[in-house]
Amino acid sequence: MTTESTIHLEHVSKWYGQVIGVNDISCQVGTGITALLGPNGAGKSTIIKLITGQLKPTTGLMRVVGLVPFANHEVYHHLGYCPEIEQLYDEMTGREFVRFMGALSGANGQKLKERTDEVITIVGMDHAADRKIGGYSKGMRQRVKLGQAIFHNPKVIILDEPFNGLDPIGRREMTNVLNSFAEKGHAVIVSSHILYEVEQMTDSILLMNRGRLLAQGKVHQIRSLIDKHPHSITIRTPDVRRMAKCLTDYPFIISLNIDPKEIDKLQVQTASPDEFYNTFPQLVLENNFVVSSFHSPDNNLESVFNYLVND
Amino acid sequence: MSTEPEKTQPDFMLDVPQVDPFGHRSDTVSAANPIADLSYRNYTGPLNSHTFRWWVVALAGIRAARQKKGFWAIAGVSVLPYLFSLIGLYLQSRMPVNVNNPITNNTVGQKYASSFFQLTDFNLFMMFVMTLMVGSGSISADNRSNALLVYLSKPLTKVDYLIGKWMGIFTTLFAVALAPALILYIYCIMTFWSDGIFHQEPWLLTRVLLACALPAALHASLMVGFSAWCKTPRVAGAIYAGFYFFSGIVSGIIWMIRTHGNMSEQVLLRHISVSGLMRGMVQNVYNVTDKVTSFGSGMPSITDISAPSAKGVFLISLIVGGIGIMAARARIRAVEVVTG
Repeated sequence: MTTESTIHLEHVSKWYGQVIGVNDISCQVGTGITALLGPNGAGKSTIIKLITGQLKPTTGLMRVVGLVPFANHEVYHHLGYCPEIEQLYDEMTGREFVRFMGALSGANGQKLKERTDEVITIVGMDHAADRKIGGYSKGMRQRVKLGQAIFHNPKVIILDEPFNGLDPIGRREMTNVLNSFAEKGHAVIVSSHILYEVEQMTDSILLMNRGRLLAQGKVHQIRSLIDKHPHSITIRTPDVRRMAKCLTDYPFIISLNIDPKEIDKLQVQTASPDEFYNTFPQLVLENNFVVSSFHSPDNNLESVFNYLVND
Repeated sequence: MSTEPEKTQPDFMLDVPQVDPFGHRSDTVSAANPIADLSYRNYTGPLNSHTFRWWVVALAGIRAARQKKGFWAIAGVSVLPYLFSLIGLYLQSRMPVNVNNPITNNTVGQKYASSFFQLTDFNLFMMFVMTLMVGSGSISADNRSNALLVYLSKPLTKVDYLIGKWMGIFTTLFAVALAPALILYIYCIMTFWSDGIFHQEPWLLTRVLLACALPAALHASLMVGFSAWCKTPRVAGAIYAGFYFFSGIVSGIIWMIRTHGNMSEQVLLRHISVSGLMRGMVQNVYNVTDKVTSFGSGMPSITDISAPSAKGVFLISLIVGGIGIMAARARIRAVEVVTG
């Protein structure tokens, strides 16, 4: 759930010479987890670099926690950044790396040591914190990178492909850390290609393609606004034909499909999913239908992503 | 490791980690707290202001240098000339007073300075080797691993980063050069106090400090420039070594062509190289003449060669060092921006 705006972009464009990186982006990101999605070359990395102040927008206005981010080191007091790079300081141990980055953030003395230990525990690296980074797996590197990013309790944390190299347990643990971080009122922006993992973490997305922002908001809200692709719902019931007959009376039903191979399966396409969801329970009760399962196969992030990016 | 503590613990555990009677939070599993609290916790400690953040970067560079075996090997070799000199001075102090001083120049005001100059001069090459070891990877290693992205995502300016890297190299070189010189100085003061060492050469300590600091500063300034423009420490080291020797060869050839090998002529020109500038600075700092053996009439004779123009040497060193730093500053950026 995102609330007040922490990151504010207003008509932001970035040109690399004659190549456009991002084109007229306007959006606001508040607290909570927001996924930044898009295919390769969509402009995700450019947006991240703009937010982290590594690039200056060619046009437009940007604010991160109320500050102009470009070349403004003050922003980094409030920002944690976990880049995609895998190579770090191979000669340092994970603990040394986190402590070093913590010192750069301004911590020192006993607090630096205590916080380093705390962060190492939070990211689940207790068992390997004193080994050299050179011997770390991709997942371990991701964890220490996350550790340095959250060290100073930033208001905003930006993670570029944080699930790369993480095994399923590692992904789940990282998701838990990010969720608990977001629950404490921080803003988290996650750039990722792994839609399934992003979907487990948040339903709030920024969808980009070819340098443009295609959609922003909750997945189901965005899905309901995509008129071009009717909403598809799969119902399993022993009374397939009787239910189909009842449903034809409703104007928001576009098509009904009975699969001859699966005689208990009815596929419904509707132009107005909200109306359907409001009406369907009453229909079931009035006609004494037995419904064994009910789900919408394209009411997910992947469908939304495909519909918006491919159209 | 627990992944879902919220399902097995009371609600208050989510936001309020368990605290023992001593005020320690239970992050780990124990009999009293069987499930570790791995949720995010806010940092409650202070965060320092921006001032001196570069020192963190410098300290990391110094630590990295100290961890190399080669560092200790070169530091050990740098101590040897001072050690031999110290032994010589000790033996001399045990000899009858009327025996000629076998080590030091007896010119008033240069007696000890001359010895320190010779020792520092010898160690300039070791300082160069040390620069290659500790400085070549200072920025190039960050370039290779893209670590600048991480570095510059902290409240750290580009200038802080550059100062930190420069200080990391400078401090290491300075410390390695100064430590043995300082020990010898203390020994000289203790041994020759009655000979009036302090009255004869009251600025000797300042000269020792400067003679160690100036070459270290020039090395650091040049090395950060070369390192910033290279992707790997090896390439940075090779290019710097090439520049170091090539500049010496070129200035030597030009000097030879213009003076036909007369050591007393065009002294500044002979010093326009990395090694020459350092030697010239050190000689000016100690304010000593250099003794050169020549064979003009068949018999060897010792000629006193004065130091190159102080103004010229320091000005050229300042410009060369400045170019190195500016080159590094121009190169350091977290991303490579493509311009049309």
